[in-house]
Amino acid sequence: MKIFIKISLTILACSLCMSAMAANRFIIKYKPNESQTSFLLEHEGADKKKARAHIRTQMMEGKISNEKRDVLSTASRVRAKHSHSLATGAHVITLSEHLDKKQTEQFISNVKQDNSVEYIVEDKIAKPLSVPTINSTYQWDMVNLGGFAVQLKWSGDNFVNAWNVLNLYGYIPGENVVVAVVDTGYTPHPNFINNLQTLNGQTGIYGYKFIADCRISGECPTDTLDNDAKANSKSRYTPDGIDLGDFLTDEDIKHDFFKNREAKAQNSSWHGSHVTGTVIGSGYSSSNPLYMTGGAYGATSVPVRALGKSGGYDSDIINGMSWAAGLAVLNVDGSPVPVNANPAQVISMSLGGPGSCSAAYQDAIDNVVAEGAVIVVAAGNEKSNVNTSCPANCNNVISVAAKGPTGVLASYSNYGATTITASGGDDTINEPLSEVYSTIWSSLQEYQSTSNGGSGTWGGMDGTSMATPHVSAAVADLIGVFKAQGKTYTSQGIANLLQKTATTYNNCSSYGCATNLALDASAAVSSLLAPAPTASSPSYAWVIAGGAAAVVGTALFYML
Amino acid sequence: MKTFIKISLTILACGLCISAMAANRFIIKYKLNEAQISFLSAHSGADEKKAKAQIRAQMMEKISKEKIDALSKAAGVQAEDSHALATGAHVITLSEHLDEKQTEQFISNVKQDNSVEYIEEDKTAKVSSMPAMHHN
Repeated sequence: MKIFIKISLTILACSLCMSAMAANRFIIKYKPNESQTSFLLEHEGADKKKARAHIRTQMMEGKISNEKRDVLSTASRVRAKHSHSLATGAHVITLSEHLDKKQTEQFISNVKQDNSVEYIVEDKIAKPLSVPTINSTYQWDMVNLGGFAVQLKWSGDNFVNAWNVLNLYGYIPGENVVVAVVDTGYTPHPNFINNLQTLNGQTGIYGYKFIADCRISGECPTDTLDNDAKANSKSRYTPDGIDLGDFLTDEDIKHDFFKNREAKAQNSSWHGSHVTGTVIGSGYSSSNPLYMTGGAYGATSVPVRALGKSGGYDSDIINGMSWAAGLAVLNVDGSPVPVNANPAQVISMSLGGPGSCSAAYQDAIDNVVAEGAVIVVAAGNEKSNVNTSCPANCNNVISVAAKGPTGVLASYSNYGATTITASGGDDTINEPLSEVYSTIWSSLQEYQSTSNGGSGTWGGMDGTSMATPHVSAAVADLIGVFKAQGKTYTSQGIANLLQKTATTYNNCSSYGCATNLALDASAAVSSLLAPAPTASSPSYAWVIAGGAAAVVGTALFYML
Repeated sequence: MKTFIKISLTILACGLCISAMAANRFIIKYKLNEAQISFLSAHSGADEKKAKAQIRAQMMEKISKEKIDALSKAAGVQAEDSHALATGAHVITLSEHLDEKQTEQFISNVKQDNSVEYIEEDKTAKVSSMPAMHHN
């Protein structure tokens, strides 16, 4: 038996790879035995309460029998131990090793085969259900229409109301949802570092780098010749999506490689950190003024670094998004890249390039959507029809146009048959407050982990890049509710829901008109939480959702 | 054959004149062969997802020398299989950059091969934010 357990340990358990999802504490309750059941039946009347307390005390007394404990050890393939009892008569058991998500499911399934078990669940860590405050000077993007004290009463995507509604129903926004940000990577910003998904449980390593050219990733000199770059061991996909910076100097862009890519000199953008903060920023407080609150602050994010100096190859983005969804990917040398053990349900892509939807992108998008992920893509900033911007113009993606704080399509935003519009800022309105503010890194050039690496700070940016993570966050909030309710969902279904609950806005710029629908995060989540309507019982959820936008979204539904 | 390639190089490729639009990276995917089509047809039910993953893994294997030779001929310069994508497509690189017209010709040449599902330039995507940024 001991030998069996030892061998199984290496197969099933996950001793060295404790992931964020790893579990070793469970709550188990056994059914009352026959004499307890009889006792309860005999005391159904006035003594019922007392009788139940008596049985609970019995069930709390002593430890789980050795026999039952051995069964639990066999079911988990590691050693199970009784920790303590709960007031309900249930018991907390601990395992000698952490189980990953799949192993946890298998363990629970094994235990449930024992008919004497009433229930077994993971002993999860609850987070406080209070809704964080936002930075009231800058985060206009998170508030609802006209109901905010910020100057000029600018409006955003109604996230604060969404959080309040979710809180009321006991949900944390985006909880148990993984959002992949395919971008320039992450920086160790205190506002979101604890909300990043570790790479298959490896402490301090988050996501993966999918940049197959060391000149783009910044891991070899910018004047490296093609063949030397190809031979460089850094020209491979490697663990950790840390953003080393995408700066280019005037000298850098004179080299053939960057000249050919039409690169421009720039400071590092820390674009991936900005986008990530909008999705999972842990929350502003007066003692942490650098923090911003993300639309799905209860979600985790996996950074996929596919953009670097002068952008990123479509091929790297395709491999990055495929990996994020849990699909098999080969490295540049043909060796397998470790499969992402925590596949993303949302893939946020604040990127694009000119041209029609490429067959290679559509191929990858269809595979990723088939895995159950929702892909959200920036419509682009060229003041052009979205059908000229790839991959926003592909099928099966949610394409996002941008509006400014006064509820008008942003002056730069692409238009046309976009899926939806969200807050992206507008530099033509009272700059810089009209930008979207989020987390960035303070260094103008490279990120260095040991010294002179800068620090976490915040800054404003405009773009459909900034609008996209608002929609990604709303999608994460929705999927969090779907998962908690045990319901299935599809990418198309979520796109339809966002549109059905959207608010209308001034969707035309001087260049063209986008879809006449703007994100209303509160109306979207409320539509999943409101009780079934009846003629005689109006929904309280509606009253609580409040805000003009929320009412517009689904009031008609109840009238019907 | 070698002579042909050398001559073509001077006609098609653009060794010394890298233009802003010069391209030497492409994404190509070949169609499924008959055995793969049959395999997928036989697994169209619950196993479909697994079967597709299996076929993608097969397609990620290196492009045959015969196909690479055909690509080199179509480009007029040496083609090389750089690496596979998760979709079963491959990134191929050319020994010389092609200008816009040459790229169109190359793609047109390759598409004459019925076994090719698609070929396109491996373009560059950029962040979709406006250039200006304000630090706090």
